[in-house]
Amino acid sequence: MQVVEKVGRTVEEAVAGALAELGASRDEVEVEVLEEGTKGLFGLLGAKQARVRVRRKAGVAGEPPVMDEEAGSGGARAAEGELGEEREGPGAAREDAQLRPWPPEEKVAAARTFLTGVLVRMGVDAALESRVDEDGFVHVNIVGEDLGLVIGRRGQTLDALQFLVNQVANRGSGERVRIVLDAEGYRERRAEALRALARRMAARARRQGRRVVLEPMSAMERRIVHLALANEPGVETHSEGEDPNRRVVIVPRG
Amino acid sequence: MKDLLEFVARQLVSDPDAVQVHEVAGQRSVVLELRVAPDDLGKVIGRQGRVAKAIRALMKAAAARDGRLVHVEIMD
Repeated sequence: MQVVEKVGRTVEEAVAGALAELGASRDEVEVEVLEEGTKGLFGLLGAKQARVRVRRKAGVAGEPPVMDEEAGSGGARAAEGELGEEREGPGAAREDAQLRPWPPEEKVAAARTFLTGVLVRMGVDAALESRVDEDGFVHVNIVGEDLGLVIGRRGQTLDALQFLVNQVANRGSGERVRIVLDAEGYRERRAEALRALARRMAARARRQGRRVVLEPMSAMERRIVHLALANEPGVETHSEGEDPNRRVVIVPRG
Repeated sequence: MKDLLEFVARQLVSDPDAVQVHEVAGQRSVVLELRVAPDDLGKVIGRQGRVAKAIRALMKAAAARDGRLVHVEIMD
Protein backbone atom coordinates (compact mmCIF):
# COMPACT_ATOMS: atom_id res chain seq x y z
CA MET A 1 0.00 0.00 0.00
CA GLN A 2 1.42 3.34 -1.01
CA VAL A 3 -0.92 5.51 1.01
CA VAL A 4 -0.45 6.47 4.63
CA GLU A 5 -2.37 8.67 7.00
CA LYS A 6 -0.49 10.53 9.67
CA VAL A 7 -1.20 13.00 12.42
CA GLY A 8 1.15 15.64 13.72
CA ARG A 9 1.21 18.97 15.46
CA THR A 10 1.35 20.70 12.11
CA VAL A 11 0.59 19.65 8.57
CA GLU A 12 4.29 19.79 7.81
CA GLU A 13 5.13 17.53 10.69
CA ALA A 14 2.48 15.01 9.72
CA VAL A 15 3.71 15.04 6.12
CA ALA A 16 7.29 14.56 7.26
CA GLY A 17 6.23 11.55 9.30
CA ALA A 18 4.36 10.09 6.37
CA LEU A 19 7.32 10.62 4.03
CA ALA A 20 9.60 8.85 6.46
CA GLU A 21 7.22 5.92 6.57
CA LEU A 22 6.89 5.74 2.81
CA GLY A 23 10.56 6.38 2.23
CA ALA A 24 9.54 8.90 -0.38
CA SER A 25 10.58 12.46 -1.05
CA ARG A 26 8.18 15.37 -1.11
CA ASP A 27 7.88 15.51 -4.91
CA GLU A 28 7.08 11.82 -5.23
CA VAL A 29 3.79 12.10 -3.37
CA GLU A 30 0.41 13.76 -3.33
CA VAL A 31 -0.68 15.22 -0.05
CA GLU A 32 -4.28 15.52 1.01
CA VAL A 33 -4.90 17.57 4.12
CA LEU A 34 -7.71 15.93 6.07
CA GLU A 35 -7.56 18.27 9.01
CA GLU A 36 -5.58 21.49 9.25
CA GLY A 37 -4.85 21.32 12.92
CA THR A 38 -4.78 24.40 15.09
CA LYS A 39 -1.95 25.52 17.18
CA GLY A 40 -3.87 26.48 20.26
CA LEU A 41 -2.04 28.68 22.70
CA PHE A 42 1.66 28.47 21.93
CA GLY A 43 1.14 25.17 20.22
CA LEU A 44 0.36 23.44 23.46
CA LEU A 45 -3.06 24.11 24.88
CA GLY A 46 -6.23 23.49 22.96
CA ALA A 47 -4.19 22.36 20.01
CA LYS A 48 -5.84 20.12 17.46
CA GLN A 49 -3.64 17.73 15.57
CA ALA A 50 -3.23 18.00 11.84
CA ARG A 51 -4.15 14.94 9.76
CA VAL A 52 -2.89 14.21 6.29
CA ARG A 53 -3.19 11.45 3.75
CA VAL A 54 -0.06 10.96 1.67
CA ARG A 55 -0.17 8.92 -1.51
CA ARG A 56 2.78 7.94 -3.64
CA LYS A 57 2.25 9.27 -7.15
CA ALA A 58 1.56 6.74 -9.85
CA GLY A 59 4.56 5.83 -11.93
CA VAL A 60 7.08 6.44 -9.17
CA ALA A 61 8.71 3.21 -8.16
CA GLY A 62 8.39 2.20 -4.56
CA GLU A 63 11.84 2.65 -3.18
CA PRO A 64 12.94 1.18 0.10
CA PRO A 65 12.87 3.63 2.98
CA VAL A 66 16.16 5.51 3.16
CA MET A 67 15.86 6.63 6.74
CA ASP A 68 16.32 4.45 9.74
CA GLU A 69 13.97 4.78 12.68
CA GLU A 70 16.03 7.29 14.55
CA ALA A 71 16.79 9.56 11.64
CA GLY A 72 13.17 9.41 10.57
CA SER A 73 11.86 10.76 13.83
CA GLY A 74 14.62 13.35 13.77
CA GLY A 75 13.41 14.45 10.38
CA ALA A 76 9.94 14.94 11.73
CA ARG A 77 11.40 17.07 14.47
CA ALA A 78 13.37 19.14 12.03
CA ALA A 79 10.11 19.83 10.29
CA GLU A 80 8.71 21.48 13.36
CA GLY A 81 9.04 25.10 14.16
CA GLU A 82 11.95 26.81 15.73
CA LEU A 83 11.63 29.49 18.32
CA GLY A 84 12.17 32.55 16.21
CA GLU A 85 13.68 35.59 17.83
CA GLU A 86 10.43 37.51 17.99
CA ARG A 87 8.20 34.59 18.76
CA GLU A 88 6.94 33.49 22.10
CA GLY A 89 6.28 29.90 21.24
CA PRO A 90 7.57 27.16 19.03
CA GLY A 91 4.95 27.24 16.35
CA ALA A 92 6.39 28.39 13.06
CA ALA A 93 5.95 25.43 10.79
CA ARG A 94 8.60 24.84 8.21
CA GLU A 95 7.79 24.90 4.57
CA ASP A 96 10.41 22.48 3.42
CA ALA A 97 10.09 19.41 5.53
CA GLN A 98 13.37 17.67 4.93
CA LEU A 99 14.49 14.44 6.39
CA ARG A 100 17.89 14.54 7.94
CA PRO A 101 19.37 13.83 11.32
CA TRP A 102 18.53 16.36 13.98
CA PRO A 103 20.23 18.19 15.51
CA PRO A 104 23.10 18.73 13.08
CA GLU A 105 26.12 17.22 14.74
CA GLU A 106 28.64 19.86 13.71
CA LYS A 107 26.54 22.63 15.24
CA VAL A 108 26.24 20.88 18.56
CA ALA A 109 29.99 20.20 18.49
CA ALA A 110 30.69 23.89 17.82
CA ALA A 111 28.47 24.83 20.76
CA ARG A 112 30.29 22.46 23.11
CA THR A 113 33.71 23.68 21.99
CA PHE A 114 32.65 27.25 22.59
CA LEU A 115 31.18 26.62 26.03
CA THR A 116 34.09 24.51 27.20
CA GLY A 117 36.52 27.19 26.03
CA VAL A 118 34.66 29.95 27.82
CA LEU A 119 34.29 28.00 31.07
CA VAL A 120 37.98 27.10 31.17
CA ARG A 121 38.97 30.71 30.59
CA MET A 122 36.61 31.89 33.32
CA GLY A 123 38.27 29.45 35.68
CA VAL A 124 35.06 27.49 36.13
CA ASP A 125 35.42 23.77 36.63
CA ALA A 126 32.31 22.26 35.10
CA ALA A 127 31.00 19.62 32.75
CA LEU A 128 28.32 19.78 30.06
CA GLU A 129 25.26 17.59 29.71
CA SER A 130 23.01 17.84 26.70
CA ARG A 131 19.73 16.46 25.46
CA VAL A 132 17.26 17.25 22.68
CA ASP A 133 13.62 17.88 23.54
CA GLU A 134 10.53 16.99 21.54
CA ASP A 135 10.57 20.40 19.84
CA GLY A 136 14.13 19.84 18.62
CA PHE A 137 15.66 22.36 21.05
CA VAL A 138 19.09 21.36 22.30
CA HIS A 139 19.27 21.74 26.08
CA VAL A 140 22.77 22.09 27.47
CA ASN A 141 23.17 22.01 31.23
CA ILE A 142 26.37 23.18 32.87
CA VAL A 143 27.09 20.93 35.82
CA GLY A 144 29.54 21.84 38.52
CA GLU A 145 30.14 23.56 41.84
CA ASP A 146 29.59 27.19 42.49
CA LEU A 147 28.15 28.29 39.16
CA GLY A 148 26.88 31.63 40.43
CA LEU A 149 29.48 33.34 38.26
CA VAL A 150 28.11 31.67 35.15
CA ILE A 151 24.48 32.43 36.06
CA GLY A 152 24.85 36.03 37.19
CA ARG A 153 22.25 38.32 38.65
CA ARG A 154 18.82 37.20 37.47
CA GLY A 155 20.51 34.89 35.04
CA GLN A 156 22.04 37.72 33.02
CA THR A 157 25.36 36.02 32.44
CA LEU A 158 23.66 32.75 31.52
CA ASP A 159 21.44 34.61 29.05
CA ALA A 160 24.48 36.32 27.49
CA LEU A 161 26.27 33.00 27.18
CA GLN A 162 23.16 31.38 25.72
CA PHE A 163 22.86 34.13 23.12
CA LEU A 164 26.54 33.81 22.18
CA VAL A 165 26.49 30.02 21.94
CA ASN A 166 23.53 30.24 19.56
CA GLN A 167 25.45 32.75 17.44
CA VAL A 168 28.51 30.53 17.33
CA ALA A 169 26.62 27.31 16.61
CA ASN A 170 24.60 28.90 13.80
CA ARG A 171 27.47 30.77 12.21
CA GLY A 172 27.52 28.51 9.16
CA SER A 173 24.68 27.79 6.79
CA GLY A 174 21.99 25.18 7.23
CA GLU A 175 19.08 24.70 9.54
CA ARG A 176 19.29 26.74 12.73
CA VAL A 177 19.64 24.94 16.02
CA ARG A 178 18.16 26.45 19.16
CA ILE A 179 20.29 25.96 22.21
CA VAL A 180 18.80 26.42 25.65
CA LEU A 181 21.53 26.84 28.21
CA ASP A 182 21.10 26.10 31.88
CA ALA A 183 23.38 25.85 34.89
CA GLU A 184 22.65 23.87 38.04
CA GLY A 185 19.00 23.71 36.98
CA TYR A 186 18.71 27.48 37.38
CA ARG A 187 16.14 27.90 34.62
CA GLU A 188 13.83 25.27 36.04
CA ARG A 189 14.00 26.88 39.47
CA ARG A 190 13.36 30.26 37.88
CA ALA A 191 10.43 28.82 35.92
CA GLU A 192 8.94 27.47 39.14
CA ALA A 193 9.34 30.87 40.81
CA LEU A 194 7.71 32.56 37.81
CA ARG A 195 4.75 30.18 37.90
CA ALA A 196 4.26 30.89 41.61
CA LEU A 197 4.49 34.64 40.95
CA ALA A 198 2.00 34.33 38.10
CA ARG A 199 -0.55 32.60 40.32
CA ARG A 200 -0.12 35.17 43.09
CA MET A 201 -0.52 38.08 40.71
CA ALA A 202 -3.54 36.46 39.05
CA ALA A 203 -5.16 36.21 42.49
CA ARG A 204 -4.40 39.88 43.06
CA ALA A 205 -5.90 40.89 39.70
CA ARG A 206 -9.10 39.00 40.51
CA ARG A 207 -9.31 40.33 44.06
CA GLN A 208 -8.73 43.95 43.15
CA GLY A 209 -10.52 43.78 39.83
CA ARG A 210 -7.55 45.58 38.28
CA ARG A 211 -4.92 44.66 35.75
CA VAL A 212 -1.51 43.68 37.09
CA VAL A 213 1.61 44.53 35.10
CA LEU A 214 4.63 42.33 35.73
CA GLU A 215 8.32 43.18 35.48
CA PRO A 216 9.97 43.12 32.03
CA MET A 217 10.92 39.57 31.05
CA SER A 218 12.53 37.73 28.17
CA ALA A 219 10.33 35.98 25.60
CA MET A 220 10.97 32.62 27.24
CA GLU A 221 10.04 33.89 30.68
CA ARG A 222 6.88 35.56 29.37
CA ARG A 223 5.91 32.32 27.74
CA ILE A 224 6.22 30.52 31.07
CA VAL A 225 3.87 33.06 32.67
CA HIS A 226 1.32 32.90 29.83
CA LEU A 227 1.28 29.12 29.99
CA ALA A 228 0.98 29.09 33.77
CA LEU A 229 -2.18 31.21 33.57
CA ALA A 230 -3.68 29.76 30.41
CA ASN A 231 -6.19 27.72 32.40
CA GLU A 232 -6.46 30.08 35.34
CA PRO A 233 -10.10 31.08 35.87
CA GLY A 234 -11.06 34.76 35.84
CA VAL A 235 -7.96 36.20 34.18
CA GLU A 236 -6.44 36.70 30.76
CA THR A 237 -2.86 37.53 29.90
CA HIS A 238 -1.10 39.34 27.10
CA SER A 239 2.17 41.22 26.64
CA GLU A 240 2.75 44.92 26.17
CA GLY A 241 5.72 47.05 25.21
CA GLU A 242 8.84 46.38 23.20
CA ASP A 243 11.79 44.23 24.12
CA PRO A 244 13.73 44.49 26.37
CA ASN A 245 10.89 46.16 28.30
CA ARG A 246 8.09 43.89 27.16
CA ARG A 247 5.91 42.86 30.10
CA VAL A 248 3.14 40.42 30.79
CA VAL A 249 -0.16 42.03 31.77
CA ILE A 250 -2.74 40.05 33.74
CA VAL A 251 -6.29 41.30 33.17
CA PRO A 252 -9.31 40.24 35.24
CA ARG A 253 -12.12 38.90 33.10
CA GLY A 254 -15.88 39.08 33.53
CA MET B 1 40.54 38.29 30.73
CA LYS B 2 42.17 39.18 27.46
CA ASP B 3 42.38 35.50 26.68
CA LEU B 4 38.64 35.03 27.18
CA LEU B 5 37.71 37.93 24.92
CA GLU B 6 40.08 36.73 22.20
CA PHE B 7 38.59 33.26 22.39
CA VAL B 8 34.98 34.45 22.21
CA ALA B 9 35.70 36.84 19.33
CA ARG B 10 37.55 34.17 17.34
CA GLN B 11 34.60 31.83 17.70
CA LEU B 12 32.25 34.46 16.30
CA VAL B 13 34.14 35.77 13.28
CA SER B 14 35.02 34.37 9.86
CA ASP B 15 38.63 35.52 10.05
CA PRO B 16 39.93 34.47 13.48
CA ASP B 17 43.54 35.37 12.62
CA ALA B 18 42.58 39.03 12.37
CA VAL B 19 41.29 39.15 15.95
CA GLN B 20 43.43 41.28 18.26
CA VAL B 21 42.84 42.35 21.82
CA HIS B 22 44.83 45.10 23.43
CA GLU B 23 44.65 45.35 27.20
CA VAL B 24 44.99 48.67 29.00
CA ALA B 25 45.09 48.00 32.72
CA GLY B 26 44.12 50.64 35.23
CA GLN B 27 44.05 50.33 39.02
CA ARG B 28 40.70 48.70 39.42
CA SER B 29 39.54 48.61 35.85
CA VAL B 30 40.68 47.15 32.58
CA VAL B 31 39.98 48.40 29.10
CA LEU B 32 40.02 45.75 26.41
CA GLU B 33 40.27 47.03 22.86
CA LEU B 34 38.94 44.50 20.38
CA ARG B 35 39.93 44.60 16.74
CA VAL B 36 38.53 42.31 14.06
CA ALA B 37 38.60 42.21 10.26
CA PRO B 38 36.35 44.97 8.84
CA ASP B 39 33.98 42.38 7.36
CA ASP B 40 33.61 40.77 10.77
CA LEU B 41 32.55 43.89 12.65
CA GLY B 42 28.90 42.97 12.29
CA LYS B 43 29.57 39.57 13.81
CA VAL B 44 30.89 41.01 17.06
CA ILE B 45 28.32 43.80 17.21
CA GLY B 46 25.17 42.11 15.94
CA ARG B 47 21.74 43.47 15.19
CA GLN B 48 21.03 46.35 17.55
CA GLY B 49 24.34 45.62 19.24
CA ARG B 50 23.04 42.42 20.77
CA VAL B 51 26.23 40.44 20.30
CA ALA B 52 28.35 43.28 21.71
CA LYS B 53 26.00 43.51 24.67
CA ALA B 54 26.29 39.79 25.36
CA ILE B 55 30.09 39.92 25.08
CA ARG B 56 30.20 42.79 27.57
CA ALA B 57 27.89 40.99 30.00
CA LEU B 58 30.09 37.91 29.86
CA MET B 59 33.30 39.89 30.33
CA LYS B 60 31.76 41.78 33.23
CA ALA B 61 31.02 38.51 34.98
CA ALA B 62 34.53 37.21 34.36
CA ALA B 63 36.06 40.43 35.74
CA ALA B 64 33.79 40.56 38.78
CA ARG B 65 35.54 37.44 40.00
CA ASP B 66 38.73 39.46 40.57
CA GLY B 67 36.74 42.45 41.81
CA ARG B 68 37.60 44.40 38.71
CA LEU B 69 35.66 46.42 36.19
CA VAL B 70 36.11 45.71 32.54
CA HIS B 71 35.31 47.86 29.59
CA VAL B 72 35.20 46.34 26.12
CA GLU B 73 35.80 48.74 23.23
CA ILE B 74 35.16 47.52 19.73
CA MET B 75 37.55 49.40 17.46
CA ASP B 76 36.75 50.17 13.85
